[in-house]
Amino acid sequence: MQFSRPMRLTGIALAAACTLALSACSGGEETDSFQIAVNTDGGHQAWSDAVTNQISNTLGIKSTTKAYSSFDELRTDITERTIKTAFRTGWQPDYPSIYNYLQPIYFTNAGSNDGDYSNEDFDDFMRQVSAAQDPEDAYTLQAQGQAVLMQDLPAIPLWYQNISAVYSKKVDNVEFNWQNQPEYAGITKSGGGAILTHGTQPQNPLVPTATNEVGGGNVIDQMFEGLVRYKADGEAVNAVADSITSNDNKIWTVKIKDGQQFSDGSPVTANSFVKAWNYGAVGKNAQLNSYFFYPIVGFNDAQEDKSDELSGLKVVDDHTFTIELEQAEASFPARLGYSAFYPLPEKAFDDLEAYGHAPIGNGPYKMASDDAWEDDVQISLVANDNYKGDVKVKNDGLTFKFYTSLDAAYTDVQAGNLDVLEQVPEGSLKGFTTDAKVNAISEPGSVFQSFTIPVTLEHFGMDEEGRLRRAAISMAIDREAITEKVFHGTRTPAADFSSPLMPGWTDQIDGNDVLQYNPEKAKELWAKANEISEWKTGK
Amino acid sequence: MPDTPRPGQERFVASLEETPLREVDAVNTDIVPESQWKEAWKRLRTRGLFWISAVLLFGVLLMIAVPGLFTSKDPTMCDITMSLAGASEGSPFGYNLQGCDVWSRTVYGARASVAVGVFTVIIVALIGSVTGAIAGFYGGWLDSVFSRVSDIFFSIPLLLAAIVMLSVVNNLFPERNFWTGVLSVVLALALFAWPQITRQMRGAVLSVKNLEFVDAAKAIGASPRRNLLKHVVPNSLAPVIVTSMISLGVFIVAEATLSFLGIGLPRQEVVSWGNDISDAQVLVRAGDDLHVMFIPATALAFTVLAFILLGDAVRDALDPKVKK
Amino acid sequence: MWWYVGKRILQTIPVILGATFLIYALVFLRPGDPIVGLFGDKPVSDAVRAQLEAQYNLDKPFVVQWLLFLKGALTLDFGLSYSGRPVIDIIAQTFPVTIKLALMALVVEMVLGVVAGTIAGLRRGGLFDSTMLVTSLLVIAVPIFVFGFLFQLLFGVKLGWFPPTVGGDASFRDLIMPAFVLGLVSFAYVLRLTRTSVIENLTADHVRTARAKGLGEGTVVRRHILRNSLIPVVTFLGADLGALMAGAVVTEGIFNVHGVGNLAYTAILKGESPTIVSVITVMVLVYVVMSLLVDLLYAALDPRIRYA
Repeated sequence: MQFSRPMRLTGIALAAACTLALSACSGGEETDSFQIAVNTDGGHQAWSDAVTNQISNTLGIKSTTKAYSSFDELRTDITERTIKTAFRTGWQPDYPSIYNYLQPIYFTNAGSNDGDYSNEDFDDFMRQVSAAQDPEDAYTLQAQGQAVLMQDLPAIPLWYQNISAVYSKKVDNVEFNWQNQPEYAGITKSGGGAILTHGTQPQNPLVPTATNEVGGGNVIDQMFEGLVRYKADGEAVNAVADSITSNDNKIWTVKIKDGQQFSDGSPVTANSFVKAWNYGAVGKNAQLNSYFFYPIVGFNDAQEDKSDELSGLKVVDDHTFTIELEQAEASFPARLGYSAFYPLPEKAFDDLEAYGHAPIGNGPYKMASDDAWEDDVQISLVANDNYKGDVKVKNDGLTFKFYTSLDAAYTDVQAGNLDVLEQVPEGSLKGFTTDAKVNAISEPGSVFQSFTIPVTLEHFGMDEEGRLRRAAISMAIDREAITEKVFHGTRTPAADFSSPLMPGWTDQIDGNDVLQYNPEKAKELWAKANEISEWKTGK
Repeated sequence: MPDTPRPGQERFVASLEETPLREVDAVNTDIVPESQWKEAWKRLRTRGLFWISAVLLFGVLLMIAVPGLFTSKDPTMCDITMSLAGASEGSPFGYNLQGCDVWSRTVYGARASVAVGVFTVIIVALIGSVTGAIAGFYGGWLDSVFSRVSDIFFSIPLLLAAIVMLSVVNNLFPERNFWTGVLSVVLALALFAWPQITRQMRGAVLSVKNLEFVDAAKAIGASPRRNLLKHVVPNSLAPVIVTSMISLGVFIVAEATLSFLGIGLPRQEVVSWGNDISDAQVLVRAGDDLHVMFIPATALAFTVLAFILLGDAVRDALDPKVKK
Repeated sequence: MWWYVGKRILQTIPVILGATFLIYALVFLRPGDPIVGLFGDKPVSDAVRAQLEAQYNLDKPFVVQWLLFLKGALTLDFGLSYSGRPVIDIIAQTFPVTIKLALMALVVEMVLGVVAGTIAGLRRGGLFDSTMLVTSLLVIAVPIFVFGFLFQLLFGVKLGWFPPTVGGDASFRDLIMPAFVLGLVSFAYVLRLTRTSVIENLTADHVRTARAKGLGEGTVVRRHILRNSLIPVVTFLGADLGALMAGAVVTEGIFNVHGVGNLAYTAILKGESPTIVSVITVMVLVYVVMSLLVDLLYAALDPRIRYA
């Protein structure tokens, strides 16, 4: 060949590059390192760096953030159990109950038990909670279950995320609920006009079972009402349901109030719920919220398309239906306010795709018009005259303006172009409470942040060594300092695995002193663990 | 061994209208013309800009080789309780959000940024000049193939391509350290940056290959390969070298931009200007502690400036037409 | 000439095929399953996951995915985004915004760059020339997002001259500051290019001849120096439109512009191949068309070039 020389040169260069790469990969002796995996597209890098720096400084080991450039890469590694590090876990409850922070994450083989934790004692407490008739009993049992978690630390609690919000000088009566969202209906605006609130372009059609992210979820929550409704403080009260009763906590009978209507005047019946839920649960409909129907009998068959409906749902008459559960659950009705359980009008099923762009609901607000959803711009809602429920709309409408950056939204609140921003951007956390151009809200919220250490991680199994190391890691973290410096006090150091906003919450959990910063004890426990099995520091 | 005339030799004969005839007679044809590079170096030495960039580059190289001269602090020793603490003894610019020393991170950050720039340029120049030279020299179907392939890579926007590439490349190196981190960014940038050099090299080779001295070499029986390697390539390299120096700076900025987007070098394993600037954006939003961004940004700007100035000066020196 | 245009258009076909193939391959090689990401921290059953993967052709080999994309693209059907919107609709919505932004940036860099570059070139070595050289170097050396932040902070928030962010309905006024920031780097290149070009032409034979003919200085500058100096500048500007659209990733992010840059970036993070590939295909098309236009314009401006 004529050009063999240049080709040879390229070959040599490539070989050199490869050698460089290989020597770099295999270079240095083998060392153990404690890593926390986070996705960098969600603003988690700063705290994760701070946490790992502290672990590294306190314990004298290598500890770093493992950065994933996008959420789905991290999530896939977690879901498929290919992750070889600890990973961040944020949890916001679907309904206001400590149980919802514990059971889905730590119960053996539960849906979100990504760390594969399993403890028979804990599972027992959870079973008892779900069977407990008296809420006070449930609270005690939950605290006992948490005490087990404090011993094992399947995840290391970090902090509760506060509600950090701002609103413009034009609006008043901005209050937040347990979901960290404003109670939009109560907001008043001097001089009238629609409330302009921050939103993001919904990622899915506005069908309750299809929407699992806040951009669409916030809109849906204003346009629909479920069998029960959560008050701002998290208390669940009957809304569309007249009564939800059961003798055995297993078969529930739901009676619907008379005269309830969708915004187009069609009636809300037992079928409105049953058909919507069946649609949501069936696998081939690929609804993102299908998992919410798992407690109901027939869920697995519906998911695997063996059946078109949940066999546990039975319509008795227009205003009555029954729900059969796989397992008895005393607090089941409290679940029914979540958006996945909203009803759909009959006509929605004619063309769900079209419906999803201009939904008709039974909530306090309705779409201002059929094309009120302008993609990437806004969705405008107005009060629904056919709404018969208890929520009183005190403004002339609600417009969700879509932003791609919170910073931009914050600047708009300052300039008076936006009325409500429910989440202050990272860059403005410092000083937003004293910003004269806006009104600020900073109060406890319901998002719980932690990082999970999978039980399969080497050195961190559920044995003596693993427990020692988990406790040492937890005590190596100065949560006060990080919430202060990185978050400017907009996070509160955790005292348990849930959130202070939940009914029955207490900071009196046995063994939760493991969440206190205690460098000496941390070093001691780490050294003890090293006696069981060596941690190669390589330093 | 001036057996063949070099391009630029004609410059030794002044144009007729500018010089009286008797001086043409005085041209000494025995003198061996100096090589293009020697000549360029002579001109380069007289340039102020060259010396400014040389001094800047020397400073950066010193930071890379012996960072201990500039700071005694460990850039990876970060204590959150020192977050944003002010200047103190041994810490002229205070601490960043994570409580790491700003100045020591700036000093140590030179390594990663320059490494990304240098390695990217080496790969890009290598691929670019080899493909460009082959395409330009041999022409025909080789030219068509290389041109189309380079068109494909050139048509995809570098930044967007690098973002996609990075998540692919990062996956190749699950173990993150300084070298794998740098290599990932280098590969992501290089894969889509080489066509520019290919085009330039092709153009240069096309213009050189038909010059008299190449024909002369052909006439005395030099093989095409020898001709390409001995005559055409050395005389076509000048624009590639200039572009490489300038794009070295551009690649350093590109790395910072990728870090700004959250996907550049791994943060804790690699101290880098891009990451430090990017991390400081939170502070800039709040309007305080601007220096935490300003210090690494200045270091980056001066380094980039040094390479661009050097490229400029070398170009001017190689191409006396634009002489001041 | 028409033969030349036809040939060029034919040449773009392999470029577009290759570029889309390359991007599809890269997105396919990327780790992570976008479907899993859709569910957030909530569990996803295998049945539902398989259903969605089939819906977006993610269960097929990437060559098949690519061929299906091409098949659709021929009828302007770019598939659905993971939010269920036709990608063509999203592009139709975001593209005009970015085009507007990029054109404004182009005007900024062209006007400022050519004027400053010409003056600097004519008064080579003077104070203005030196100032402009230093400015252009600084602009190239400092990352664009640093300027973005500073401008937003200074002119948007502190001084209030321009809206600090843009939002849904991008008006001309909203886009002034982002366009300025976006055009900044290219402004430096245009300036340097114009300056060098003017200097080269100042001593060119035809300019000497023109001067010798006794033409006024203004005429010489306009008719002889500028016209010839602008040829490389026009080439650069033409190629730059595509680059500006891609460079908008950063600028659009800072100023909250709902354009293709923003769209492409979020799509990459979500692994949304239909959107990524469509956006990049459009950008490749812009690039290809612009380089064709530039070549033709080149011929119009430079009488020495004729396409057979």
